[in-house]
Amino acid sequence: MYQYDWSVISRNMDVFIEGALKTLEISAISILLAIPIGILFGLGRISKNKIVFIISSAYIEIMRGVPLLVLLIWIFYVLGQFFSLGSYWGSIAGLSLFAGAFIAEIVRSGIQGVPKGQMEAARSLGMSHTKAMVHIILPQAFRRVLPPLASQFIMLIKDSSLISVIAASELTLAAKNLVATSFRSIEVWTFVALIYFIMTFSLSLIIRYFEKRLLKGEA
Amino acid sequence: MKKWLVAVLMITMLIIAGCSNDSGGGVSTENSTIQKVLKEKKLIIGMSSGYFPFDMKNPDGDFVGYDVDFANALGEALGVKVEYKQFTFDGLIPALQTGEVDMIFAGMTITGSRALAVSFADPYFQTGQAVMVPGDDTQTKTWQELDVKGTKIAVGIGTTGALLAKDVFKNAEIMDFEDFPAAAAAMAQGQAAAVVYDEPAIAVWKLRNGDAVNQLEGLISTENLGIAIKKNDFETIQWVNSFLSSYLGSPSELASRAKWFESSEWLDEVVEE
Repeated sequence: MYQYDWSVISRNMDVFIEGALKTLEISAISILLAIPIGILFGLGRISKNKIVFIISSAYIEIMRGVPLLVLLIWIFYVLGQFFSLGSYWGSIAGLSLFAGAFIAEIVRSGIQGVPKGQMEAARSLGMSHTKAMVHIILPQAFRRVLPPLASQFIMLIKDSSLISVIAASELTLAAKNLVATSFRSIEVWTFVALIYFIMTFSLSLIIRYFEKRLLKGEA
Repeated sequence: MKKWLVAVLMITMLIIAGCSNDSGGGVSTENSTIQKVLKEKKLIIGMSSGYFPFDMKNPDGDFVGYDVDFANALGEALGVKVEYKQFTFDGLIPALQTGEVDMIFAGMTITGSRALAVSFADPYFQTGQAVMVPGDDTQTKTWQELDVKGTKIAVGIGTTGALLAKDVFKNAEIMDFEDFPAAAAAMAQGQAAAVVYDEPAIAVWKLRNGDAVNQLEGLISTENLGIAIKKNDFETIQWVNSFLSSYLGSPSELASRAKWFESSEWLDEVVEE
């Protein structure tokens, strides 16, 4: 019968912590890169320019249509034939491109969520389209966009477990190796699931707090 | 609604955790894998493809290789059907522990630490770890030359190659891949400088890919491959050992060994991954 030995957790706490920090690091860098990507393609999605619109829509549809796992493997093995990024940057590239597409949609709906009257009023005050965007529309869209953006970050932390398949050092890979040497799959995987949960849940609590404060600011 | 759901989940987890805490010991044949296999007329083998020429897949998706011939012969001796389940290498032992498979046949090296989690029958093959480098690397002659900071060594996660590499390489970085083909592909693209894996897999890869790869001379370690069985399942271990005595050296085993190790005609009939 399976004999439980929970000491494998306490004896390897440093491995878990290092893995968790790596996961957070890779997820953070990816989301920071994904935001400008998302803004770029989000604006492109609502652009009047046909070429910009097509390119942006294509990018978004492809990233939303391909499973993240397949995308990561593709970047590592297919792109890797011509342009080798390695596990670390390959993972970040995959994660940020993937999240960027979702953020693009968030940005788009954020901008389109700002009442039409705002743009009309800005234009009637003599502002150019760009000026109106930068000074009136985008700041309002920003507020709307923050909560879903933060949720994207949480999703990224969970999705980051897939990068273990292209040999990137993070929590899930560390867990796989620990199970391979200790054979304590139940203890290790339960604890790792718990760590992911603690990370994502804490973040969602923080987000909820800031969301409340943001809503207070808006009349 | 939410609180109720959380409560149900917690209770379920506690029940699962509590249920499996059985400390039954002693040499009983009630839990014997052999008995279960004979009753169900089916033997479930845990395999991990990618270790040439032991565990491979043909284009139809069936398992083929030396281990497969072996397992089929074993099933025949028992008079049961053999079913194969595919796992990544590091998932095999957990699968055996939970009873998802009856035995592991995956070119698995017998180690002391593995033997604490599962039981092994007597060795059925002897090999060792070898090193593979890209074909255009004609400089490197020994693995020690690769132990430089910044050099990446590709290995299969959970294999003795991975453990050995992590142990002997002090400066180079070790990259864990799901299986040997993935590690070899990474090396082919320059993502890694070398692969450390069981010698047969590398030898076959060299046969297949010719000058694209080089195998460094010699082995870094010697290892015995064994069939893994549920821990302390003595009746099954005894039986498998008896089977090994009857099979190893028999005409069919010799033919199998000649087919997979001494010729390469089968190379076209298997897929790389």
